[in-house]
Amino acid sequence: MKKAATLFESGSHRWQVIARDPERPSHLIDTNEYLITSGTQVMITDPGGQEIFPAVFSALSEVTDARNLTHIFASHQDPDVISSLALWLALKPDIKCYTSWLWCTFIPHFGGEHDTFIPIPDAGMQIDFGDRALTVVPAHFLHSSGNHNLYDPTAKILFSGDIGAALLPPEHDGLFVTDFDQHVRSAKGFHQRWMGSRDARDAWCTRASKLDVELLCPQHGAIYRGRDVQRFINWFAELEVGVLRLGE
Amino acid sequence: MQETKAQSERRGFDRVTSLNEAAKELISRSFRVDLLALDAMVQSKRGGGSLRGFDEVSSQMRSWSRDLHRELEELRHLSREVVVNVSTASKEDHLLRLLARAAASTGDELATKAVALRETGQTERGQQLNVRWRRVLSSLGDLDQLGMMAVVLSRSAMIEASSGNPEQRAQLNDVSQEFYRNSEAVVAVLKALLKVMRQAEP
Repeated sequence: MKKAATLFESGSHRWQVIARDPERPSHLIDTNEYLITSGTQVMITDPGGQEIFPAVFSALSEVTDARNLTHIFASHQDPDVISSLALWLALKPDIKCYTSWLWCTFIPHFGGEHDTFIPIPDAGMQIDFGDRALTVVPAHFLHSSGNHNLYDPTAKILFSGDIGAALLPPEHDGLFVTDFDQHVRSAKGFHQRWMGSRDARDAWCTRASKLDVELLCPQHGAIYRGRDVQRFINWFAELEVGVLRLGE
Repeated sequence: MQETKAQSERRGFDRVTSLNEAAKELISRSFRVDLLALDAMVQSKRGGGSLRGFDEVSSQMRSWSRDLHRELEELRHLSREVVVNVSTASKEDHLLRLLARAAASTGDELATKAVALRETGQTERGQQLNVRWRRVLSSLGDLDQLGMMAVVLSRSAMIEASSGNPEQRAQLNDVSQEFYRNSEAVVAVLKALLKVMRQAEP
């Protein structure tokens, strides 16, 4: 089963990651779910696919009362991101799901009512959450056409969805990036294939460089911390990406 | 009124979450209780031969807190199993409902077979869950008995505490009273949990 680990804690404001399931079948891509708690509110980012719901729910229950879950943040519409939605709503029907306006009529195919979704405009938005504010940062076409990251200026954490993701070999199961050069070898192919637009990549790198980020937290693979955050942004800025690569 | 599937599912989640949260609270209280029992033992040793009665009670308190901790670990383990069982059943139920709708609207043989197979799986899962719930109830019953014993022990400790000299009396009384308060809190959480579990019995 997955385990939860605390990434940041200050008073009632907390970030935890749910990661690394040794029992996960190898045909399912590994995912990281992040739990953000502030005051009485709890949000889970990209809660995962329905197949891993028992593992995520179980790990979440270890660290918080699942009945306190108030929000879901879905960076985009992929099945490994949000296909478990109906199951979370079975647990608590009044959970609200933040996602790009673009997907507000698509994701209901996984579950949810008309009032489940809070559409995020293309430019992003501010979310008043507990006693803090979170910033939704646009990351369109990286890889989804309606795609957002979530930035917490208090914790200096950027949840980056698929950006920064790495498909790590089973022996590299550490929570944090420890050897950047080796790590990006596992991230390269993923970013070159999935990130289809150089313009979108450049815009994101400029935007991300302006944020004060201590932890860059992707949905797959290890977390970048400290200097590795900017190293990743620089590496990504230089990487050959884009649909034209397919013809090469 | 007939309970809908969604209501029953939510009740299942509520029940399992109540159990899980209570188990977490009880475990954390049991650490406090164990420390208090240890403190009581240390204090009675300091008092030497003059506190033989308190010495005996404090040893029993320590032994009791170890039993409590062991029982609670078992409950925590059961609670984890039930959490996985309920969430897996919910996932399978969701898929089964979708498949059953497809089978009902088409009468397709393959879909009907798939529904039957999943129904068998769900029945087995339900039986497994019932067994686990019974084990939870039995474990809670044992814990309830243990809780009663703690209240009796802490009362005895308070009586024995009065046999020390005035300085010892104050210290022993403090530790006994705190042990009493924590034991009562454990008993209260257990009673509330037992009530929820029994009300929700399938």
